[in-house]
Amino acid sequence: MVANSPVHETQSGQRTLLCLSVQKRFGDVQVVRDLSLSVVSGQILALLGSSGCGKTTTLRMIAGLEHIDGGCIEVDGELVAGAGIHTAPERRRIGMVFQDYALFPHLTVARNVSFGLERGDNARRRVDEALDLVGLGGFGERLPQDLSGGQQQRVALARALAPKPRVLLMDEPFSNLDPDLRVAVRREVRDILREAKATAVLVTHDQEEALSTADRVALMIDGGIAQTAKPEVLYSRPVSREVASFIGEAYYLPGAANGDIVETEIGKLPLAGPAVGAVDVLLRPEFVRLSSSHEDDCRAAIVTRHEYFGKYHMIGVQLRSGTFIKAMTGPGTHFGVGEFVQVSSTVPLIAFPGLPAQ
Amino acid sequence: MTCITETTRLLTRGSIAADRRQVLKLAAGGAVALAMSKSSTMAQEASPEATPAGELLGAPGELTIYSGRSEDLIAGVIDIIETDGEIDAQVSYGGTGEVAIRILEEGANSPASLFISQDAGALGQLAAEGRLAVLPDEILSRVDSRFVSPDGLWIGLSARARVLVYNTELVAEEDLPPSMLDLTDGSWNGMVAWAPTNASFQSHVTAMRMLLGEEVTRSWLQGMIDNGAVVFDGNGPIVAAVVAGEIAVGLVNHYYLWETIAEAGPVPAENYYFPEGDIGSLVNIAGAGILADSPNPEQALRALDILLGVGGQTYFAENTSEYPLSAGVQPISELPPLDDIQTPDIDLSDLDDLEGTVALLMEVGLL
Amino acid sequence: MQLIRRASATEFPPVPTPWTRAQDRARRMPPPVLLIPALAVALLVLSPLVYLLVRATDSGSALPESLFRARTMSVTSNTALLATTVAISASSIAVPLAWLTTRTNLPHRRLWSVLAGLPLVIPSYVGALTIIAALGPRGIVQGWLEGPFGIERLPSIYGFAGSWLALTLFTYPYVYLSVQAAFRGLDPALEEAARCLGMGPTRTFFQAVLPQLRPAIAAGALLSALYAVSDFGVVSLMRYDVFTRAIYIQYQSSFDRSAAAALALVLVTFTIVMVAGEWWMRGRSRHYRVATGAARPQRRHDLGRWKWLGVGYCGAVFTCSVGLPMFVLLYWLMRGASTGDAIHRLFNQAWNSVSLGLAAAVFTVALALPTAILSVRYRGKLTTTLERQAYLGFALPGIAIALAFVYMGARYIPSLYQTVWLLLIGYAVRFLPQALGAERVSLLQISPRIEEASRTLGEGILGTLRRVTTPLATPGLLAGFGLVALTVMKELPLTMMLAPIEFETLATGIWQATQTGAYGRAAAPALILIVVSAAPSLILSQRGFEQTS
Repeated sequence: MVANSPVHETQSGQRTLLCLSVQKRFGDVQVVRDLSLSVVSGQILALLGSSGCGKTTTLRMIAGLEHIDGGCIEVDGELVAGAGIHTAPERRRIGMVFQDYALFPHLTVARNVSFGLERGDNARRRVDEALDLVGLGGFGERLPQDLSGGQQQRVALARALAPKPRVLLMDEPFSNLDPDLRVAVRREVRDILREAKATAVLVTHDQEEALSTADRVALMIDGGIAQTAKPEVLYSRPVSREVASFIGEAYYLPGAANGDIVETEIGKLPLAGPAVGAVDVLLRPEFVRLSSSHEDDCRAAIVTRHEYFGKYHMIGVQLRSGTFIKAMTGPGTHFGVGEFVQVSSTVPLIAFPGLPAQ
Repeated sequence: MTCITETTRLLTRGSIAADRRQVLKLAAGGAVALAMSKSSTMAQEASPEATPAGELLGAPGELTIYSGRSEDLIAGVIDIIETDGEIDAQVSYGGTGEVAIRILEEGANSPASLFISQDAGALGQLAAEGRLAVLPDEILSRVDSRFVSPDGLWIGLSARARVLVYNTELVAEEDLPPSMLDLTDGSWNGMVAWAPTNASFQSHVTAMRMLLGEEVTRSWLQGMIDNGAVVFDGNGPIVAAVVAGEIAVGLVNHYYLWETIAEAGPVPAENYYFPEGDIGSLVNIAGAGILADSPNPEQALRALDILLGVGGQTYFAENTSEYPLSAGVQPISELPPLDDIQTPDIDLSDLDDLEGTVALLMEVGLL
Repeated sequence: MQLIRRASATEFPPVPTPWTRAQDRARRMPPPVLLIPALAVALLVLSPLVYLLVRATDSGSALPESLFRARTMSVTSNTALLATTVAISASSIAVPLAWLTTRTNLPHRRLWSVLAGLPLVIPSYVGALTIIAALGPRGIVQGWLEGPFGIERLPSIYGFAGSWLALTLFTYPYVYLSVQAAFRGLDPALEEAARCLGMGPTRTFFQAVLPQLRPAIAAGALLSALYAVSDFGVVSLMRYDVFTRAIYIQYQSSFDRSAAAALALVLVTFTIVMVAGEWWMRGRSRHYRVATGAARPQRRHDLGRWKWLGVGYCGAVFTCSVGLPMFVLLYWLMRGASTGDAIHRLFNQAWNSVSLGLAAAVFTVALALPTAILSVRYRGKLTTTLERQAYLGFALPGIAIALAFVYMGARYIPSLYQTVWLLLIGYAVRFLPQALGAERVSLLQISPRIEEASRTLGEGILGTLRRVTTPLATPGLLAGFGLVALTVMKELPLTMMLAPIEFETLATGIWQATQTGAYGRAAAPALILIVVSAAPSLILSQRGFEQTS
């Protein structure tokens, strides 16, 4: 059913986590509505959304920290929530890395990691393994307070991974780190999860983080899933304006579609999929190419803004119709404010049905 | 058997009261008394040689005593009860009023068998609520009926007289007034000490209300206040102040002076007994009663027997300088004989209306 | 003592996003493993109230009359007067002390900071006795004045004046400790900002600092006022007609349990109004936070030449509140040395007091824990009600709780009656609020995430409580433990009425001695009691000092 839904691409492999039509209310507010998603074994799914969209609540419902108000949740084919069932968090075998790590301040690193393990030699070995995995071998006797933010983050990860959870949940795991550190830790965590072959759900509001870390991204808007897809698909082939606007910068250009071609005020542009009638095509800055033109060109547009970012220029362009779009150009190019430019696209474009005239 | 007639007597009395509950409780009390005296008689009949006349009543064993008398004033007799009576006594101390209330709240399950009280009022209250058993005649007959509950529910163990203690260097005996009521006279302005929070004082005021009426009592209290009577914490501090010459006279129980003398030797102070049945020379008692639901009535009886016997009475006479009430024991020689004190005519069991007294004391602003 | 240090900390720890807060506040079904014990504790706490209601309605028609007598009105106004004045004067003494010991370069600041909290260990009835002995119309001080000045009599200390003085001197530490914690937690940036905005030091204090302290002062003052309202020893010795004394006299004199119960219920209502008032105030200042630990060390004001005035002030307060009672007790001890109790008996009393205090503390802290967790982690109507009604122990007069357990114990659970167990239950009901307050404050400082982490690692609710929550809440549990132990050792009415027969404690020993005016004999147990309770309180306040500095 999930697989057949138009917003979810089909996937193969064994499903480890499945959420079906999950609902959650806090008082009068419906925070999660009709949420469905699935994660295949060994895969990392990013749950992306703006703050307050219900993604953390979703994670907590999967962990069993919140009760669901409708729908159901299955782990490894076992119903853990729904139909009157609520398996306690401690019996779900689902690991969680909290946003503020929630390390036990009264326990050493090793005791933190061994917390979820049965006592014994096995446990000790498992602690060492987990700490080695996160590159903190030899830190076992330290206290969490004595570690840096990145190290604490890795202890939290090791602690969650040590009992070999069926699913690992991570709630904004990188948000408390310095921006410099964040990218490195992100890559590290991704490698660790790959090595551990962990099935993971990562909650984040940072699209770059979601796109770069996850195998698949579920975009959550207003308590529901808007689209689940591979990162590149989500970026290049959003299923709705909302998705398109959320991921990256999105500008729209009205036109008349006819098969694979759309006729717009800047000329004929290729479409990624066939469409007919009035449409708006999605123009992302990096898909737009500018070339010099002159005032007399009836398709020329005028440069109204210019920002320089070192690696690239971001150029704001106003078309004759008044439509505003942005273009990203290489460091070598230069278009000054007031210059006339010609606009074209580098890739086939996505078209959405045109909005009714206001 | 005397106890049976006793019970019958009580039952008749009870029925006059027309309160069925009371009757039942009295009957229960009577039954205890019956049980007690029956077993003691049985013991006598069973082995006349082993228990000759004069042997202790009741039986040895465990006994729980609730005492409103503080440990200092009773512990010596408890020792006698334990050794002579072969009784393993457990004593719980507290203020007389608190202990009485505790007994009332514990109800039928009270672990206490014997209640020793500092005054007749609390005993009267327990008796009125049907919580005391009728005492056998062997006990009741040992004490002058003045100091025994008319219903036979409690008995006085020792007597204490209210007196005016005076400093012999500040006042001559012949200048002391013939009546306590005269202390409101202007010549005594600021010279009299009293202790309105003290239970003995309050009993004394209760007696005044009974004998002289509410109005007279109120105007006397008011007169004393207007005359600058000095408030003290208790009898002890008053006697100390009189001995020290800080104040001329004070209204106290007689024995505090003798305690002071026992500790410090001769002092320039003496007790003055108001003459001719004046309200000022009230004699009150410290007494005891056996609980109606007593778990150990036999042992309680034996303890009472010892308290009223030579050992107990001698202790009260010598250690606390009170008036012994039975066994022919004499008070210390310095005390005037009890019979010489011309006490007002009052039934001590009527002194249970402490509430009215407290209300009056509050009304005039002494509490 | 940490309870009071942190008593005014906020209701909730900092939370990263508003959303998380909504989750934490969301009503969650309280787990039965916590709810059932909490409900049982609630029933236990309610039982004395039920007893009072049963007793009060015994008398039927007589009740309204006894309630609305003019005396009830005067007792109410006396009680209100005493509570208000004690709260005000305790605060006035405490705030400068707290300021001097935290924010200035007062000489021997650390020492004063500990000494200033010490009056808490002096049982108020002992304190009142010693005040009467020293300042009574013909007390020790009058004796000194008589020779040189011929003063034969000091103005009477009895009544309002003496009660107010004694209660102020022995309860101001509640305000002091609370305000001291607030001072330490205050963000220095606020003060600096005020100075940068052109306010002088005085205006800064009154306009920027004092308003921040208000909740801490209110919390401490409430404790002082509650103490004043529920204390019996002081007002009975000072003969001031407030509720506890009126209730006692009613029991004592008329054996009228109905009237006494009715009065006790009025007192309960009175206390509830007081506590509700403070809650209302606290509710209004929700965003206020103290005791978060300032990031930067705070600047200390240089007292300059006023230094010695500061020392003089601290010294004067200490002399009156601790020095005077100790002096009088030592004086009695010297005078009455010959009549003292045998050493082995004193030792026995001390042993009983200490072991009873420790046992009661363990028991009470344990009983309070489920309610504390529910009220912090599972906020909802039910759990909030459970928490608030646990504070009833503060509102009920000791003698009423004692009689309730006498009644229930002897009639319905005779196997427990006059055993240490029933006494411990009585103490728990009476002192539950102290343990609960300390536990709540420390639980609020533990992030719920940490407990959830434990759950996701496979620990159940009880396992999490044992392995995570309890160790983390240890400082708070210890504070509650110390406070309960301290107060249990001083407690009298419950001990007198519920202790096993012939079980003596230092407190009952003091009572026995004072009954017959044998103050010399009271001195030894009183001094031992003070020393015994000073030890834990010093350790606790020292801990607090190290933690916050």
